[in-house]
Amino acid sequence: MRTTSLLTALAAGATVLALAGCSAPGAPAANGASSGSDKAFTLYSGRDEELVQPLIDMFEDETGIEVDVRYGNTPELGALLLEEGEQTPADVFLSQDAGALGALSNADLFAPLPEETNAAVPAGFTSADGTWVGVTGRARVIVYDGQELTAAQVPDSVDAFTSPEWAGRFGIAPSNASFQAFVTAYRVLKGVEAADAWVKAVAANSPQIFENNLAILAAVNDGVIDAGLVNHYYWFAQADETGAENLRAQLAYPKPGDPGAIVNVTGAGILHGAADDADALEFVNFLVSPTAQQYFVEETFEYPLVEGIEAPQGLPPLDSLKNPDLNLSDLESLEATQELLSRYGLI
Amino acid sequence: MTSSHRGTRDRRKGSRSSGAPPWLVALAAVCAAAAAIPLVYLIVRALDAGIAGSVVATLWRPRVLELALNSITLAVAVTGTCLVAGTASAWVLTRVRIPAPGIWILIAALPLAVPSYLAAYGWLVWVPSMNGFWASWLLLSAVCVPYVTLPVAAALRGASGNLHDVARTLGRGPFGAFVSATWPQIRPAAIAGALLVCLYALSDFGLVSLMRYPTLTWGINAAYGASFNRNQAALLALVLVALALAVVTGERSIRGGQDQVAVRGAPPVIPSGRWKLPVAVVLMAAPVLGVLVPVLGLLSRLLEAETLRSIDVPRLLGAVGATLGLAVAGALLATLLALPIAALAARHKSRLVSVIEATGFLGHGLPGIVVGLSLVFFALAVVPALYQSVIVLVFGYAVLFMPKAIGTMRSGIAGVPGSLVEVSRMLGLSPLATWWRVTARLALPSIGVGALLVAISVMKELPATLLLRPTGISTLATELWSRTTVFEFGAAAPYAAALVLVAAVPAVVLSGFRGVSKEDL
Amino acid sequence: MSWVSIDGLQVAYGDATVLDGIELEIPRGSIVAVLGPSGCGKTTLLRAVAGLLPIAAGTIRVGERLLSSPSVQVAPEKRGMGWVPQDSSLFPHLTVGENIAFGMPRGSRADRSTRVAQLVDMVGLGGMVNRAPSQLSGGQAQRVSLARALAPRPDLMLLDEPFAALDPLLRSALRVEVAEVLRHQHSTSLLVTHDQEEALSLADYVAVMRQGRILQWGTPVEVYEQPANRWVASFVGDTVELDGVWYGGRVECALGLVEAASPADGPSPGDGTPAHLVLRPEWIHLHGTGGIDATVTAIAYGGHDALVSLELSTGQTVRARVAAPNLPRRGDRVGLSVVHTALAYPPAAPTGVPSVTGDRA
Repeated sequence: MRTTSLLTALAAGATVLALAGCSAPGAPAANGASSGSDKAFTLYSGRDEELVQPLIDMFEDETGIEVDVRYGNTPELGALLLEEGEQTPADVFLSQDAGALGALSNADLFAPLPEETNAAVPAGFTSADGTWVGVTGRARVIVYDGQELTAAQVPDSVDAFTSPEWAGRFGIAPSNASFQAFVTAYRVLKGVEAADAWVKAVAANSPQIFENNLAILAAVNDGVIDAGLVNHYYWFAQADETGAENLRAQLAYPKPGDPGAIVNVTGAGILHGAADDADALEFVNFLVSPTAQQYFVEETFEYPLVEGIEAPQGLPPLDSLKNPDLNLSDLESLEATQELLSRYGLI
Repeated sequence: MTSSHRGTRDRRKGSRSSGAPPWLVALAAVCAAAAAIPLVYLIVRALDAGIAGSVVATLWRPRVLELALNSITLAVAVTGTCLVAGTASAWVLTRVRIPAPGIWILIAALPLAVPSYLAAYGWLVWVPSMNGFWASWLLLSAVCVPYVTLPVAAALRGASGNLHDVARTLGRGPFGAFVSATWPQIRPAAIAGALLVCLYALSDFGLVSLMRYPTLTWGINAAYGASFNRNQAALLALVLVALALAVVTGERSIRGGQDQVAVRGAPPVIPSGRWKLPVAVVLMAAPVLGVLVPVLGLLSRLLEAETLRSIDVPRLLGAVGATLGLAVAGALLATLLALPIAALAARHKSRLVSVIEATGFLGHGLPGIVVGLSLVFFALAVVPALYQSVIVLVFGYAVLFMPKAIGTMRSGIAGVPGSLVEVSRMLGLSPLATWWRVTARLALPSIGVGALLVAISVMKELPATLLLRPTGISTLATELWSRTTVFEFGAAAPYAAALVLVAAVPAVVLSGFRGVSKEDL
Repeated sequence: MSWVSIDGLQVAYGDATVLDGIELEIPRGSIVAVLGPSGCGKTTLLRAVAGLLPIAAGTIRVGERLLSSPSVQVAPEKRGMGWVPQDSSLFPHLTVGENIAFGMPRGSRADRSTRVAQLVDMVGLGGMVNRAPSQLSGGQAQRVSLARALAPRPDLMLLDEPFAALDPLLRSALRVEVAEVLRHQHSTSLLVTHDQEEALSLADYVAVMRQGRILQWGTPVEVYEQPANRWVASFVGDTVELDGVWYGGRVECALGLVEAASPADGPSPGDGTPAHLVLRPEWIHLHGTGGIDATVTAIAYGGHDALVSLELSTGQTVRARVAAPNLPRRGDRVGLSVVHTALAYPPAAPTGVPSVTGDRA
């Protein structure tokens, strides 16, 4: 009897393999190169399926172009793209943060985008060299425990977290790209020495280390910590799921001019091999078109980066959030930030 | 010394003096080479980083030392706990009279079905402030205990109770008798299980990230995710490889001696009497901590959530199908690859054999993201046409989980008495026919156990799957992940439940494996 | 020409020589027992013949075929030998019938099952064809093992202490049955054992082995009644040993003037030289009167006979085997006489092998 079961299992496995091999959609060519338009392209999306799929469906309905999407975490997709190099099957990369886009740009994996595409987004919210374009913005905010603190007690500057009264009560995610972008902003705005002092003080102030913004939000919401530095978008997504009135965590915005009050961007770029792919370009243009931007405003409460679209209600206006001379994908700058964080043992 | 004892000793020597057949060594080496792909990848990346200066600068930082120390501490603590708790559970399950022992063994196997990240997640629902070393130690131990419980229970079933009785008459108390008489018989099984636990603890990322306990895997993920510095990540991963190799080498020497040969005769069963409460605690600790609490936590989130939409049944079924199919395929390939290595290590001992066996265990000490990326590298370099196909994914699973099969298979093959092999040869069967009709046939339950362990692991696997899967194929684990990243707990719950249920099936089958004689089959 | 011919066999483990120049001829259809203490190398010899061990020097031939030599090593499965190990080693995953049929050549199913039924009946296990090995007793398992080895009609049967693992009562009964089966099948058999009773009762020829060498070869009677040296004498049976003086065909000792013969491999002693006398206990008879005076000091009762310890007037103790039921009692005064030609050995003669240390293990 055992032999029969074994044989059955073998047959099942072989069948699955055969079926899966046959039905794996879009068995890819060695690279994503395709000139002109063949009404299909491959997208690597670091943004979540629940979020992005409706948008893609919209795009497919409108244009008739078939999109083959691979979902993943932005950091891992970035690492994947770097590993794949020129042999990647991907044509477009939609990233959750600028760090990944910068790394890919620096590795010369992106094809430069045409003028019109780059022009759609104002400088400071998009790439400096035109290799990728910003799509939406997320404000850096302070999330706090609404039960423990009143709005007045919440600091309006990130400098507050260096003081002893906050020891052990706040959370950061130093390995996260958005935190590192913020520290880079600090360096640019306040100078290298001030940034050094801030990181040093914070590292000595018993910060609770989390892996990402989501974890910080969950922790504040569960009362584990009193405050944390996150992107605004996560709170709104949570509020949408469980109801804003049910949320223990609340948002506070750092005062304008504070390095904590910067905007992180999500963005997209076209991979080198797809430089001539019209479909890929059409999708990227779609992302910075009013339709898509409006979608983001309504569905994710993120800032639109394109002129003429209104920001979601309740958020401070984009102009007030200064993105200083910040080249969001300046890798050298990023490396210096990482070196700084590493020096004080945060990463 | 009786002549029969001498005869057995001569017999063993005789079967080994012929040495390992070269074709087997070559075959095992090829299979082990598959497991070495991540190592090759890491070395290539590390060399990219530039040797000497950069390596030292990267690794000799307080943070790295802290991460390494944390990894080691966690691994040691979890392994020790699982060894003690697993042996105790196995003892209670086989040597104490308990009602419905079959059910209890089944329950003991259940924590295998719960992915470590789910366990952490479920616990955080009840105790959100849970974090750090103690939390990680507790949960990881609860989830890993079956890796020791099941093989030790099997060994205890086969071990003779006579030695224990003799030890008692010679003046040892019950615990002393256990240590001196029973433990040596079950030691190989316990140590082999402990090895799996140790490697798992070193390589786990999901649980320690949720519990915010920074280990080397945390550092590796941070290196990939934050700085996209694959070279630095590779260096950290090499540290993990070194640790894993140390563990594997250590296990081999601690395990020592022979793998157990099956013995006839039923072991004694003692009544539980006034020990009922401790017995219950021992039996229930891991299942409660590792299964009940997290599952209840997930269910409670489900009730809170707004997105408890109607379940998309076709999609769920599709994910179930993919999970099952990949699990079967992965188990088959891992078993095939592990078989030559196990067959070689079971009967032959030499330095070369040790190296081959140790290489086979490498993949298990590394986090999934490293194995995934190494296979991306390998596939694109060697078989680009197969990139992002199911074949590479299944191969990735085999590389990752081959060690789970090697240990059990090796002890099963070694447990086939040499005299049966000799009898078969004398009856006219060639070595190959003997292997097929006798050794493999008798080792089949162990091979089955190995395959099941791999299958369960494949079902739960996440990071390598995300990297290697064909675009469009999702498993229960990936579906679960994609929902929890956007707070959609309601939508995630059915997938979490399905995952635990699907993985529980092989766990239950695993718990039912007994002996090899005709009436057991 | 004998059926099995072993010539100058030498087997070594690493640096240690285990078998040193073994010569053995086994006539066809006979049972040969290799008798020796633990560690003498008898199992090694068996395994070398089976092809499970390589040999360092010498040859092994069965029939006309050269099976083992330093340059030739025919694989075990091609030797056509039957192997009955000490612990029966039945395949646990097969029934009795399947075990027996395991080595049978491909044939029609009907043929095979007929032969299996035949064998099962022959070993006295009729009706148990479908039993599982774990349901058999030790003796039953050993019978199945025998039937399994006989099934492919081997040229030579090899038995490795086949009865050692069984209890004594079972052992003797099974021994007889096994011998009968082997003879009935006209098998040529080589059996190794440390039990002298087993060797003497089963075999047509006995080879006494010690420390890798064969000390004596002969029929059981020859080996028992005319052992080649003192060691063989004491190993093959109980002995009564006395020192005396040789006087041309007789030895003067505490038992009087005893007829004695000098064994073939010893030099004929000169008159007046000291000699060591060896007797079997059953060669000493007890009388009420006459003969050498002795007092009964102890009686080791064995049911069918007794080993009676007697103290002589010189103070030496001898033992005599007395058939029941007419046994003396402790303290009786009796007369002794020797009723069989005794064996005389040189007093400090070498026993045929160097480095004599504790003989029986």
